[in-house]
Amino acid sequence: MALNISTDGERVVVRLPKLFGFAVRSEFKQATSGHPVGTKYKLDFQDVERMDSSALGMLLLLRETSGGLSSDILIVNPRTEIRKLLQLANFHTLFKMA
Amino acid sequence: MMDSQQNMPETFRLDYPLIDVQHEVLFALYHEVRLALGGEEEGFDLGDIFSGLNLYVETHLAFEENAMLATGYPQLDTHRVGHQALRDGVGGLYARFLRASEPQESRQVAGQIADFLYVWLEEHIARVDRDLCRHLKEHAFGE
Repeated sequence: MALNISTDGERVVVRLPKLFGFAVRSEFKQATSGHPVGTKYKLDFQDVERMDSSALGMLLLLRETSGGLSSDILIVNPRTEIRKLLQLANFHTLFKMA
Repeated sequence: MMDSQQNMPETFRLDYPLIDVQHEVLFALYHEVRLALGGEEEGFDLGDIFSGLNLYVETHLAFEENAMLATGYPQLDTHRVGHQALRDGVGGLYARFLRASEPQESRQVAGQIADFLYVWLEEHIARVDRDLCRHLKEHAFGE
């Protein structure tokens, strides 16, 4: 398993892999499906060194499957270059970023 | 950003990261539609893909329009017409998708949305976004 799933009492915590991209797409979908709409997520980017556009698409789709406008997804621990990429994509307007 | 197995075509690239990354997200969503239509077992739900696409189309177009306003882009009105075509095209087809009563009709409309998005990206990037990026670079926008 490239992804590590746990809970912190409030949120489903998904610890993402070093290479977050198309190769883990199926695993990401499986890990985040089965939770009811309204589930809160914490996406831990601590290990992520590189990501691709497929990963950005996955984040958007998680936002939709978990409630769209009312979704609550917190992105934590992105490295500087990953944070910059998320900001280039304007994702700081769509997700909570710590 | 690492290479994706399903990269945006190089001809779509404008060498302006602020815009290129956002076009890549749109292309990733286009690719998700294609995967879902191809019957891929792990495909995302088409309705979720389209609601995400609608959201990101607006996010991207608003970003570009704010950039044009901030830098006094002389072709703003013309560019906005192209943006409205994308809003209307994706929005109209999405509404048809939601109204579809049969799975076959849903899939047919989904294919039309994917085709529309690909052609729009191809034409809009080649015709008008290249000029916009040249202008934004000259104004050091986002640096």
